[in-house]
Amino acid sequence: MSTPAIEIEDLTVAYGERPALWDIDLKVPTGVMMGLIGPNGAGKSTLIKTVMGLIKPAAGTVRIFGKPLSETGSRVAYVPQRSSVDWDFPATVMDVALMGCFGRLGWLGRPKSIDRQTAREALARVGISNLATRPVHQLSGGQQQRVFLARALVQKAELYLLDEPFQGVDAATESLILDLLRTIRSEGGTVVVVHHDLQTVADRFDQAALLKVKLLASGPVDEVMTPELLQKAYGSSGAGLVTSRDGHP
Amino acid sequence: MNPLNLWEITPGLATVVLGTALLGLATGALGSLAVLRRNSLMGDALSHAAYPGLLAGFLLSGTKSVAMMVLGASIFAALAQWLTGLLIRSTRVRPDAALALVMGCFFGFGMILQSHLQQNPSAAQAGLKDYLFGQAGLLLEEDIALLAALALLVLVALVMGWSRWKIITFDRAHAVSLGINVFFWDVLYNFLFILSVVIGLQVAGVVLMSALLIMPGCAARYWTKRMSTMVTLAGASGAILGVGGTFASDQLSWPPGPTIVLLGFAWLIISFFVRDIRKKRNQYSGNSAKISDALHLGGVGAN
Repeated sequence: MSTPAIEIEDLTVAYGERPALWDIDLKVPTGVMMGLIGPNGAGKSTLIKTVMGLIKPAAGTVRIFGKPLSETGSRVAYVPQRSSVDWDFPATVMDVALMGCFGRLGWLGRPKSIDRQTAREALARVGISNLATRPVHQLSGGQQQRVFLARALVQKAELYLLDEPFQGVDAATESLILDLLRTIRSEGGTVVVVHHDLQTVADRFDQAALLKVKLLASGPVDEVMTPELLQKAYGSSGAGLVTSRDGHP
Repeated sequence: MNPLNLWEITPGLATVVLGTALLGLATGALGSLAVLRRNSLMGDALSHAAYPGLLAGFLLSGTKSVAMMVLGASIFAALAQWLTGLLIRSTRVRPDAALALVMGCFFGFGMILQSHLQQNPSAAQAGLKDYLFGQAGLLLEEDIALLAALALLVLVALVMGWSRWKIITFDRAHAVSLGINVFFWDVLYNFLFILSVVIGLQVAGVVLMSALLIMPGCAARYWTKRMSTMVTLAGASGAILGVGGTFASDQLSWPPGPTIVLLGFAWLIISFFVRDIRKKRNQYSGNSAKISDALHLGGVGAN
């Protein structure tokens, strides 16, 4: 069996006294599209931030493609929540997309014409080529999310971690993001998405991990999204959330 | 006032003009980063916190030694910055309150130190009080060398690490995820910031130092949609404000520091109004841009 894209062992993260994640063991195989599911405060964002090295764990290890994060370079692309940055920043859409290549640049490095070409292609893939010179503070929510995705594409990563990419975007952007992530997977990439809409999990992902501080389950979607497990995560309302998709409350 | 005297530049005045220009360049460029990072108040806190360190430097050396005073001020400013961070991390005190607390305590300590020093005649003569409100008129040639070194250091650091400054300022988490050593750049930023404040104290004083850092950046933000242009413009306008303010102060017999700050404020107001007119014009063309987006993307722009 090939090396998993992410391998998490005995991971515990705490904010002060309160544990945010407790003793997580999780393997994400390469080439899958996994939804990270769980109620508010379950630690979904915390988990991917810890994988990205943004939060220091109290205990446990994270390996990416079998190596510690410090040795993976730009093989991992992180797409934070749109609201995590101040969009009133003096930069154009092109400027932000180009930031995806900054990991490859040295101190004195400037983006080269090939990087610009890559960025133009990325903007085209997310359908905003015509906005390249637009200042980012003029963008709508959906356009902001597309810029973030373009920036991640410029990075040419193998593993993509996205924090709530479908949050507050228009329908056209939603389907574009989904198509894009499926293309990435079909090209051999691995995609992990923090997701809170239970009803769309089965349609969008082939794997799921159900989190509530502890990891309740992980694996193929139909094995994770069972009424018993969802009830464990969300309480009594949880089981109904999924079945209501078919119109049976 | 004899208009012929207008262009009569004495060597003393030339020194002051050069000094304020160099300081304006360094603080304008660096301060625009502070504006974007939303820690504009750090300049105010650090300049107040540096004051007791300045006096301690004097006390230890016994003379008005620039090196000792800059060293003392730097140590106190760094201590204040570390303490502010500690308060934010490990207590329930919020960042703005932490800054105000540390600034007040350090400055209070400085005032006590000052009243103690005033009884010492050599200290009274050294004009230590000038550091409260600044005394650009007293700039000497050796101060110019220090200010030139500061400006050079800031410019080199900004140009060399440009991609780093840009990405860390816009999206720190993304920078970390790319493996960029954010800690190093934060330390460098804090170091340059402290150095600018401490060296600028003599010119602008404790009270006006933060205005020198913040105003060029705030004004420059109105004129551009690129960070590189904003930082360049802030540095250039900082230098021009230094020169213009010094000449104006010489003509009006006003103190240079406050004159520079008032001129800077006028520049900020002008920038605001000019941009406001531009914005109204752009709203018109912006609407047509939105319509063309909608035509291209089938209404994707709407959200």
